[in-house]
Amino acid sequence: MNQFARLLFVSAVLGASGVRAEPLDGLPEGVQAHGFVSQSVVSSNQNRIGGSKSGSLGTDMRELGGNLSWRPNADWLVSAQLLSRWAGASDNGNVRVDYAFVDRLLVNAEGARLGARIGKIKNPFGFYNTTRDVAHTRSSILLPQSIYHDQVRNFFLAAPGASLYGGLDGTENSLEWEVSVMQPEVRDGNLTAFMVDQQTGRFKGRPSVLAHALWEGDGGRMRAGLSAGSLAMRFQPAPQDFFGLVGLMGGTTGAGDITLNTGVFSLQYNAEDWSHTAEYAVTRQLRKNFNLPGPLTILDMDSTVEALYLQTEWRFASRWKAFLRYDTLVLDKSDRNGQRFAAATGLPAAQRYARDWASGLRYDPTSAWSLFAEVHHVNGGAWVSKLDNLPVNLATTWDMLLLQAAWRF
Amino acid sequence: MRWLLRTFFLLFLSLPVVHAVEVIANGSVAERQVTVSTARAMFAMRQTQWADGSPVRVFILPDHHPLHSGLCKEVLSIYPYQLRQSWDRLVYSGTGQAPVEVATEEEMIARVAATPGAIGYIRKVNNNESVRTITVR
Repeated sequence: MNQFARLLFVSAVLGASGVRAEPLDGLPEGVQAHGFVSQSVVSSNQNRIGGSKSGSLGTDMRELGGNLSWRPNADWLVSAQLLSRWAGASDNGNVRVDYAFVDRLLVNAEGARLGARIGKIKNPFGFYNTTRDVAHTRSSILLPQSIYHDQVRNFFLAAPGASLYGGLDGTENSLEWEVSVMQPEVRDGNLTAFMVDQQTGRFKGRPSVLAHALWEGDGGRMRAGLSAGSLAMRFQPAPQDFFGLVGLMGGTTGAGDITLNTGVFSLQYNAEDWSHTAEYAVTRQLRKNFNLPGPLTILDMDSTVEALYLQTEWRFASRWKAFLRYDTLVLDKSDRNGQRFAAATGLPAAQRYARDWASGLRYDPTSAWSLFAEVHHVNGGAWVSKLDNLPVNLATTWDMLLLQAAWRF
Repeated sequence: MRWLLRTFFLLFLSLPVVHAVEVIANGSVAERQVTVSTARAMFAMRQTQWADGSPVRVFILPDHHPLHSGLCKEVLSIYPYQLRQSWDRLVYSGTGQAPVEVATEEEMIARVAATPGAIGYIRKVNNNESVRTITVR
């Protein structure tokens, strides 16, 4: 654990005796500091999640983050967050800049705002993306993986760029929107494994756009969101890579471009005791210039990824919450059960889809602490980490139990 | 008949006390009234300026405090968990800041009275001359 992580961990433990989740005292006017830490325990009977092994508990899932924000006056805001995350082979606790940007409010008229941000900005995508690593802001320990896919999280999470944002507040309705241009950060073993299997080559982000709008009606009882983006990257295989070698045989470099044209439609109804949420995402994956020969063209074909989840949360007692969710993902809409993929590659069809029933409990003993427990019954393994699970060994039907304790200030 | 009235009276007494809530502001604030949508945007930390461009400083009581529920339901017409979710989204994505949490109504009055641009809330009966009352309509 490096120094930042250690420092944050110590301050978290020291601060844990206080129960109020509020900014630290004694900071200069306009400055706030916040942080969060979580530790999970995972038990999976088949596929490995968060460092778990079949028959033993995995304790490798941990999150640690801290942020500072400074509002020197009513128009400017400067904020940055560092994040460290552990999750099996895919995340080893490296400290990353989660976001770091300057925000300038340009117009503030009665009920209307317009502003701009520049720096590394969180990508608003669906209801949960911008704060997905903060346990308290999630509906469950694992967010619905069909849409909040942890294997491509670093790519989707935040990116250096600029954005224009705005808001309108009416008596019954409000609207928030943001349009960003950025260069996705794609140097990530997990993303490589997900996109082109385990190879040592590198992805490079290319200029991309993302737009997000969120409407709230009746004071937020109804919420509807739409995010749409076109995220582009280029894969450059290493000479010894599979793509590099077969490319060489076919007279090409094996390099190619991938563009993800993606959109998510989000709906939520919030009552006093109940919240019902549905999100549906379609991602058109366009592959260009790989020119792989023969039967391998299946790795070079466009496909449409389809994801949907339905979730119900029930605040059945003060400080308690339960949820039930069905979450489904297919990596190729025209090959829903992965049979065509399995026939062409000899790999398990389960690698191409996942249907996850999940249910769990949350208890907030104080506003700073949260305890979670949830069970999953999964058919398929489209979202399990390929770095933790060899694709040939992927189990089709599997279950897991997760426990998590989280603290924040 | 009398026993019926008495039963009703006892039932009425045993109902949880509902506090009528009043929004208050620091004396420096020019506004005498704000719309529900503006109040909601301010307490949600989305609206960060008063009409004259000066910063809004929001003071709140803990999530489970009866007065906080009162503010959310009676004045803003939302649920406390929605405000909490809204603050969390801003704070952990860097796009906003959290309100200042105070422990008691007395502390609320003292902090709002002492902080330029401050907004907070108290019980309606608790008239206090050190702060300004704001009508939310």
